[in-house]
Amino acid sequence: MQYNFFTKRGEIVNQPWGTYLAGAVQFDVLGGQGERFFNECAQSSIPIQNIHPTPLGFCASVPLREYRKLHHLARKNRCKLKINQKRGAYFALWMYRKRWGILLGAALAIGVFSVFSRMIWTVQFYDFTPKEQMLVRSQLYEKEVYEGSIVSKEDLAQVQSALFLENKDYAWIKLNFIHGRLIVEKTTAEPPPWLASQEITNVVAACDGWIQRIEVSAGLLQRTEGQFVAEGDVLVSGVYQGQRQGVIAGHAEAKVYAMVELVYEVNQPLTSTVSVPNGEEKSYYTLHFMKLKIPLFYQRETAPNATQTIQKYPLKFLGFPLPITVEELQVREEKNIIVERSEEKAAAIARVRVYDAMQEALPGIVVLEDEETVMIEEDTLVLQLKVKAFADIAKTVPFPTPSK
Amino acid sequence: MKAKKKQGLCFSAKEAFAFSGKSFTTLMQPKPVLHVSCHGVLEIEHCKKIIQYTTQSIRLDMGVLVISIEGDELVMDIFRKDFIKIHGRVFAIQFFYEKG
Repeated sequence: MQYNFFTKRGEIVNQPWGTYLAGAVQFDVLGGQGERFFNECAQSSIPIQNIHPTPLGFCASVPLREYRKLHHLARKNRCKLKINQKRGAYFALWMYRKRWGILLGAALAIGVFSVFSRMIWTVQFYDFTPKEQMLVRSQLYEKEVYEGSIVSKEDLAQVQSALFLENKDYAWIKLNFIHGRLIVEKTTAEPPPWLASQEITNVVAACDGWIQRIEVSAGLLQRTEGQFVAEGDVLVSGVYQGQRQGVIAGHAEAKVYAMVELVYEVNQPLTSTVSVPNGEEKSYYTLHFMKLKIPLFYQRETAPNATQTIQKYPLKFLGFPLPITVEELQVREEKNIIVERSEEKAAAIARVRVYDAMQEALPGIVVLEDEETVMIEEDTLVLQLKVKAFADIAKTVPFPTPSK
Repeated sequence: MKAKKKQGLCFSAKEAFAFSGKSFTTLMQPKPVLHVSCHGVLEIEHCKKIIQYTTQSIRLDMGVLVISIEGDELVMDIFRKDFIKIHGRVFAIQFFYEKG
């Protein structure tokens, strides 16, 4: 252990931890036989350091544990010892000898800060839309990455890989953990270039209709404008005889606009039972901190017909995020009630259902004329709607393989 | 006639181990060494005692001789039984073969 602790002016030059913990005393040797005193110290294996003469004698320093041995030698050589400086952990802690709480608090604070430096205080999203942010946030919650959790670099790398595999829309996604902030970055993947399908297909009529206009992209046209076609008739063929290359088989694609007449019939009950909230809503909170789950309720009373929704969000105090995540369980009690609809409302609902079905079958349909018939049968309203419309009736289907 | 026994030479233990005139302790004692560096640092091994110590001069008893170091602001960094380290501006080192 080195004891190079003081310079001749009493300044600390080399202060390794061992020396500091052992402690040292700088003292003056006044009067008497100073040289002889030091000789006897050396003979007694007391390491004396930084000896320099002063007008009244000498100044030197000695390790704390050896200082008590000096008195006997000083008395023998008629010297007086006077302490100049005391340095080291022993003297630094002396004033706290009956106030261990201060030291304990300081040590605790150091421990807490060392732990908190590895904790996620806030999660920030860069270049995310609110919808994307909500989705990624829920995925992070599933993987236990949230405000207040402690994660290692290896964990983050695994979560990053998992997020990349789960979200096909992103070219890459990165989790950067910097000074307690988890920054989530991503780049949206560009759609792959359009490639013509190599499947051999035909274009057939989705429903009966009177052809008004045809736009062929690929294939051989089988019908012309002004013709009436039935459902399933081939409009554009993907396989045809070429003028030079022989039989050509490919992907047929076309838009065939036709006047169509459709008939829909919908049954809409006038009375129905629906489940609606009865106005009683309860929230139960649980705090997530590190690996701990701290529930803030004693007993959860859930009704049998209640819907439960779980929301998670970071805890904030005066707008500042805290490294704690709040899990809110919302419980809404519901009751079944019988709803009676008037004929007009039932007919309106039925009409909407018809139009939805029509748009689903023939996207972009334009209704020119409609004629509806409403009938009441017991507790049900029957709506029959005859529609005359202008729509694209082209439907691409695989080329039928000849049966053996 | 009986052959006369030849008498061998007598050696004492001192003569046998070549300790001629010197005591065992004297022979086994470590020899004092003086290292001098040009940066004004002197390292002395196995010095017996300090005879005199002032800011301008230090006299050390090395056993066989006395060393006098003259200089300015001479500070004894380490003083142990077998090792002394001195630093300062050294002007002269004198060797006295007669103690005193």
